[in-house]
Amino acid sequence: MSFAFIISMSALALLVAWLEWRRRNARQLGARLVCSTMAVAALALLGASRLDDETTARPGTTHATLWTSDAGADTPAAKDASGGDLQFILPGVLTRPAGAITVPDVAYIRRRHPEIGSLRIVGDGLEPFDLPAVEGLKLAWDADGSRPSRPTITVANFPRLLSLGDNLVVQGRIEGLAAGEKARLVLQGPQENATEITVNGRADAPTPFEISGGSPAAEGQFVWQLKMNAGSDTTLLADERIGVAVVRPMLPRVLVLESSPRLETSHLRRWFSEIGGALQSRTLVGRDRYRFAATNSSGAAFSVIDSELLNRFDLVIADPAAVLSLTTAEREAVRAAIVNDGLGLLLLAGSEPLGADATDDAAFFLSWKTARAGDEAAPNETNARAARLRWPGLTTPLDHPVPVAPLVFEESAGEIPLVSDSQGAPVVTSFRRGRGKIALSLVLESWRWRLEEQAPTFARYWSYLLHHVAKPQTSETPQWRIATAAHTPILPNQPLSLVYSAAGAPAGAAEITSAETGERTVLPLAQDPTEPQNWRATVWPRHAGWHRVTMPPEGAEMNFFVHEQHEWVSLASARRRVSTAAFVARAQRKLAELLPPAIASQRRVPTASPALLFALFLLSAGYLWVERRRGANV
Amino acid sequence: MTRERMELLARAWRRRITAREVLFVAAAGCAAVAGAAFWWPLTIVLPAAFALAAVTLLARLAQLQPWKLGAPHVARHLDRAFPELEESSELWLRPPAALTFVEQLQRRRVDEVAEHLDPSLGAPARDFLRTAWICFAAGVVLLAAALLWSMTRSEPRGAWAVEQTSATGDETTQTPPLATVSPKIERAELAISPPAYTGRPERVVSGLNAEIEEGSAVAWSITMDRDVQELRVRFGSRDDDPLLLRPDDNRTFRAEHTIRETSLYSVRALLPDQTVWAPTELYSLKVIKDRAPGLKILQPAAARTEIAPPSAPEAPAPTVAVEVLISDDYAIKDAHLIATVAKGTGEAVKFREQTFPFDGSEPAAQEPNARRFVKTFDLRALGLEPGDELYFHVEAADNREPASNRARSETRFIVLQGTDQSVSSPGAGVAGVNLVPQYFRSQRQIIIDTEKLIADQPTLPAAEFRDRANDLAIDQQLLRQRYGQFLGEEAETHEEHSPDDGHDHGADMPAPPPRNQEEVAAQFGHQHDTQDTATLFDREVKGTMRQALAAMWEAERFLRVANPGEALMPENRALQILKELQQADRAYVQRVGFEAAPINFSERRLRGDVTDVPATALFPAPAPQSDAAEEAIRLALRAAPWQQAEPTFLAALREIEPTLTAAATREPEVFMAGLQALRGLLAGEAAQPQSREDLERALLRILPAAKPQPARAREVSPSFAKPYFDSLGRRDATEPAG
Repeated sequence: MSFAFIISMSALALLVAWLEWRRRNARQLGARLVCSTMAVAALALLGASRLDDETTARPGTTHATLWTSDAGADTPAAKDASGGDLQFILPGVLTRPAGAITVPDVAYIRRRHPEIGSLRIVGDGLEPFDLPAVEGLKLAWDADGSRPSRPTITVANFPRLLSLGDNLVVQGRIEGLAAGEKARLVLQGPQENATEITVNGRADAPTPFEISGGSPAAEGQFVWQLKMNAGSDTTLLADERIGVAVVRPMLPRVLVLESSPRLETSHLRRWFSEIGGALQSRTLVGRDRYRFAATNSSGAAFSVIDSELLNRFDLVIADPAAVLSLTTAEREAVRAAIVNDGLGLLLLAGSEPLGADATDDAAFFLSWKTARAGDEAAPNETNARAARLRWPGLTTPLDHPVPVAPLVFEESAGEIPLVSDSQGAPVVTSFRRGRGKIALSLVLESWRWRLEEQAPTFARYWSYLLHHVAKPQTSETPQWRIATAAHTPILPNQPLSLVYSAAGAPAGAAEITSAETGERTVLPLAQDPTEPQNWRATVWPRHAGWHRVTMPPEGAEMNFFVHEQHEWVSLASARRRVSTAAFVARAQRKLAELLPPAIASQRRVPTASPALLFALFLLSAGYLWVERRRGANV
Repeated sequence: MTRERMELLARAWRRRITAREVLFVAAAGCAAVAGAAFWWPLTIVLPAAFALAAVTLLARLAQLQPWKLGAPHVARHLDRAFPELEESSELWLRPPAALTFVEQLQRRRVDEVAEHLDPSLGAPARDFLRTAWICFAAGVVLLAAALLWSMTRSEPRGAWAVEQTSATGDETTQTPPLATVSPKIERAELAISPPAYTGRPERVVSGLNAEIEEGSAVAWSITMDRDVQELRVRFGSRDDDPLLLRPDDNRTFRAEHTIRETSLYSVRALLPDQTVWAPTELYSLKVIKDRAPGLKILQPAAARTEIAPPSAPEAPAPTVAVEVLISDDYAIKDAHLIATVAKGTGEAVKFREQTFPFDGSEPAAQEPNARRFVKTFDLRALGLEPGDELYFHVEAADNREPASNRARSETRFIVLQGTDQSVSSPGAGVAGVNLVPQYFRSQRQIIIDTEKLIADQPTLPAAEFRDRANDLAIDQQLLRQRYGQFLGEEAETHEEHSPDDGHDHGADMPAPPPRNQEEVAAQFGHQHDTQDTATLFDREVKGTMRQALAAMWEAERFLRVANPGEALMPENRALQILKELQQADRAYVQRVGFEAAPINFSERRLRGDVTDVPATALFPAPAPQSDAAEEAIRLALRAAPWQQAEPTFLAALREIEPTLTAAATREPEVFMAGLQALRGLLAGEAAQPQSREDLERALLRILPAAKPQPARAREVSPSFAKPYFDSLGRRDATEPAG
């Protein structure tokens, strides 16, 4: 009962009483006043009880059962539940107890049946976005009854956007695989190239897997096929599609500063030219004499390194001598670009330990704790050591060794090793410096890979290195991304949160186009209150297939794949189970804390019967009417 | 003028007005469709325009209500149009009996007036509909133009239009129109007659795709579901020489053609109404090439086989068994061995090549199309002596016609071991030249024989012992003389004499006349170098060799006096010296790296004259060459799944077609489905999921494999990063690394 309601009812009662008071006929004044007030009070209480019913919707005492899937329908708990007061079924459930009502969603039950106080959920449970609708009910759910009876994929993570040249890697978990039982996973790419792995079941935990599916030869929207067979026979346990959009990667813009011509830089420049990247180099070829070279860009010679120049690059590759040859102002500009703007700096070491001749202002770049590897007494025996490199993503060290400086890194706090040798000793390591990174590479001659016809290894090595050291993409270019469950399959009729990031407000209206049907939908965007460059929208895809979200006129677009309703059923089921289990546990905990006082307060305030109130109102009003009629006759 | 006449006039007005409204609305509709066709497809525009026009027409008619037009309206019109009638036209509508006297008088007057007026009094004017017709015609013209434009803009339908955008880009002119009603192939058969040499039977396959043997004659038999005037088979993308099929009747056509290369073809028909039916379906005839014979030498298995020479002349001749497995698709026509005998060593080596047939052959047990050929070489019959070699390989030809496929095997080497090779080689000789290997062996043999003589001495008679010792001395002398040649020593058969040698030389004889140029020249000069020093060897080598000769002398002396025990020691010393000589003449290369003195770069670098070097020099790297077809494929793949493909992407698909056609011709089993899908797309068909996958897969297979590229990472919440690091201050940034 709201305060305004009470005030208004009181005012009404006073008004009626005042009107009675003012009547010149003072006969039976007291009775009239009482009846007037009582009629208004009865009317007010009648309305108030109705309002309370509508607004608070306190759980009643009715028990109901909701069948969410066919899983677990034959368990004893489910059979007990079939005898409850009310039976509801969500669409698509084939198990139909007698008298069950099919409802479109959970919220429908709450709207139409406010008397329900407790709800037993049978099956896999509810979608995460459905769970708030059962808030406040006493919930019961049998988690064990809905577990899969055969091995199923319950978790699958993969990137929805894949950079051209990167391999698609799918990680996931298999549930229901007994200890020692084998399952064979096959990931078939769009070029019909297939990868196959075999996983062994674990004793008391889901079995994780990771499978790599190669990379298509071009950009576009492609569909992979993930199949799972039982290890012993050809029974197909899962056959799912994975839609991935392959996009052209945003290449880092690289500035190379070198104190003498190096083959390493020369090959790096050639490789960048091949892949269409922008690389500019400045090489000291004589006293105060520089040679500039640029690939695929209109790079021009420059005389001073300042913040304006550095803003055009995402990564600086330099040798220590080149860093030392910079002026103090130039070094400060590089330092500020690293710390404030996220610029990456990759130092290519020589054979001598760093930092020995570093000045104070160069210490920011060159104070690395390195020591000479091997025999200290005979430092001139060798100027390099051959190392087989490895980095995350490689299962085994590379077959082709390359020369590495005879130095080792001493352990330092904050060190992020990037590349190591076959013994695990880091050969490229990095530190975060403010917003950017500084890395030091001991690898001397990676160009040997290119001469040994191992160009893909060279490309893989430098791709990995530049990816981790270069300045990351910010909102300098408008882009779309998927905010919720970014690495799992998108299913129809489920909410999908899209985020558009741009430096300014979007100039046009965002649109989603279904590639299959051609249907276009305008997407209203809401600016994020905490991150103003982000604009969010939630869509519920209704059709399967490829969709493209665009933002004209900038042209930022993103493709995403919506699966059919019958795909990834096991994954959706697992997601429902996990979210329902967590929600039910939380609800039960909350109910245990709040229910006793709530019940006590309800008992202390008895509610009057609406019929009684109505009768009281009729009596009061009837008396007043009769009294008025009698007065008139008199 | 009567009431009936006025009713007729009213009906005419109703018709004209209705017609005018219809024409105006139709004209407006045509114009609207013509305009809208620029933005929307006709499938949407036409129904919408029709509906809108219908609504507009109904509204207009409802507004005008022409059906209510009657004789009174005509009368009012006459009153307005003809003042002469004095507003009395309505009198004609009333029956004469109902008129008052004055009205009758007035009616007579207007009757008279009406007789002098236009006979078509009150009828709609002749040009009443002229403007409407003009507008309607203009609208129709506009609509026709829009339709034409739309048809040219939309994707070509049928193979005829595809032909217009063929690889050559030539516009085909005078092309018959496309068939509006497509016939269908009711039945199609290919009768395949493989070449006779294959031994394969003739066969008939249903459909128009087949795998055939190279050079097969293919007979098409195509039955259409309706009458067709002409049917042609068009190979590849060329239209210069389509194969015309003979009609059995107006529905069944036949033709024969010999196929030697894998071909893609399509079928085209000229229909009785002179329209062309050109479906987009492609068919393939994949030719199974006749492969060259495959040869595998089973015996001898090793590339080089050494055979011991016969121990005695009367021993059986050494033989070599050769066993070869030859396989072919169909049959082997010829197989033979080509053997080469190499005799002699060094520059004296001689070769003799001979061709040998196999002794026999038999079918191979494991492989159905293979035969096992055998041959046994008699090395003695071939004239091989110890140390000689026999090389052979096998050549085979299959029965392909008109020209056989020929193949040859790898070469096998048979070496008949020489007797000298059983002894260990002494080495490479002096300065790399194998001068006298056998002499070293002889010295060792002398030692062995001497030891044997010493061992046999107790059992041998004294005379025989002396003879054998003397023989050994002679051997030792010969050996010494041969080595002496390297030191310039003369043969001892020509003893030199001098006046003071102690015996009588008889009367002084005049010097004999010079016999050659050298002797003539010797009379007038003198030689600075002597024969003793005029050899290849340096002084140290000569000195060592003299020591060996001295040891041989000493050994010979003891052997001459039948004292082999004493001779053994100098013999061994001579052998040891000879061995040392061999070792001493071997080249020696130090196998350690050169270590230069350390250079202080900081002192030496950047000290040169750099006046001619520009302060800055810009070297732009060359841009990589791009392949137009590859770029088109990438563009098309980006546009997939092509349902909503824009014209630029369709242009890319057209550009891809020649490349994909070439690939499908090369490997139809891989690219054919993709090519079919592409042609379907170009013909305006909707992209079905399966055809889309086929095309996607085919295009991806044409492209080279993707290479790793460095992608920039994405920063999480970049708007938070800057204030965060700003608030951190500079303290963290200025800390030294590590």
